[in-house]
Amino acid sequence: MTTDRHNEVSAPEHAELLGLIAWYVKGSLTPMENAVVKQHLVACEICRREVSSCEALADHLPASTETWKPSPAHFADILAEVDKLEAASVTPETPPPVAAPGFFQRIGMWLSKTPSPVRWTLALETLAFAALALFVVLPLYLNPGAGGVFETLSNAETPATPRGVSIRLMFAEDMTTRELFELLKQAKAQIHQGPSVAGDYTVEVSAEDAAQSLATLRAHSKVRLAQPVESSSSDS
Amino acid sequence: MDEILGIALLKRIAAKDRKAFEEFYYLYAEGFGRFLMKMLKQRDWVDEAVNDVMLTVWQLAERYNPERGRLSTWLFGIAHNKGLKILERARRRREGSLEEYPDEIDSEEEDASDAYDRAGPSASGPERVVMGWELGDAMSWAFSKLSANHRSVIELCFTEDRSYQEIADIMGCPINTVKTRLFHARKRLAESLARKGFSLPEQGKVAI
Repeated sequence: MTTDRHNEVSAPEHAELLGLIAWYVKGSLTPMENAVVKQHLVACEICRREVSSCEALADHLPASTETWKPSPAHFADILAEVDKLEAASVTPETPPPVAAPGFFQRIGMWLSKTPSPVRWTLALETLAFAALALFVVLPLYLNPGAGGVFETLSNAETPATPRGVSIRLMFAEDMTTRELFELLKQAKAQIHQGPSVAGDYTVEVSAEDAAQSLATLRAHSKVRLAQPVESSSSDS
Repeated sequence: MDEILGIALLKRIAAKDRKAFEEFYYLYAEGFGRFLMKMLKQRDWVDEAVNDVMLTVWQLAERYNPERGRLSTWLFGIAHNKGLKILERARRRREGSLEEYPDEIDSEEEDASDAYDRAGPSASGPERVVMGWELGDAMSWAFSKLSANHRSVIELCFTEDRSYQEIADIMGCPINTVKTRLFHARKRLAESLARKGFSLPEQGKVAI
């Protein structure tokens, strides 16, 4: 590190002091800074020239050819601006009434707040649901009779309360529903109860056809038991 | 004394006292108006800048903290900032008009300071001295050729007698930037004077 031979200060210190000369000349340094610069000047020719240069500048700075003076007219302009500011702060603009958003607007607002991945998932789910509804509902709507064939052993047109003769029936294990249906039709019988835990049914036939019905039932190869029962026991 | 009075007025301004605001205006506006006149060079711009400074004082009076610096430093800082904004606005307007009317580029570049060239002798060099220009004329011309920041730093240091710390506060820059800026401002000034054949006379022996 180089040093000032005359004043024993380093080059950076000299540069630092050189940078303070303008304020030294104007007397706006702190007393401490002022003393340090003053001491440095004793031995530093460069800084002494800097002092001379700054004094010359201070002496020859151009005086303002045009001065600016405050005036009542100018202050009136400022007050007018202040009035505008005050008016703006005292009567804040009331926002125009906003109509309540409609159903679709609310949905739109909700969607706009929903993150994009969630929005896409919801859209796909909605599409899938709509497609499912089309596949299931539309064929039934267009062709009501095309649905599956369902069979029932009871006849909804006739009341379930027994009014004729009750017959307890037991069938072979390989008796199909269709065969049972056909047999009941031939015997003019209707299922009243069953199957019970033991697997038997109670059917009802009209009193007039009781003998014929019983014979028909007993004649069937898959009927294991066809036994008239008392009306009191049929209720139990 | 002015500082104490100014702070008292500022407190009243914070309470929206218009009378105090008026007193404050007549107490301080001339000082920072003079500084702005050197910085902006145009009276209507200075009117506008002083207006802006006073409106800021009206709005932000309660924010001034005496512990953070002198009141006048705070005011000059606001003034410097407003001055720069006005210059920036003017520059944009000028650039806009240049784009609109490209043929005016040459005439636009002849700024007001070149009036000195036209008014003074046409030759360059030391002969200017004998042809009518005084050092004061050359200094005014050279000073007007400086940038706003260079004019401001010279003005604050040599005319307003501000410390480097205060200048840093006013200009909103580090202290080292203030020192560098002053160095370059003086260098530019000397170069401009030399272009016209002038130099600042050596002062007498430095009193140590």
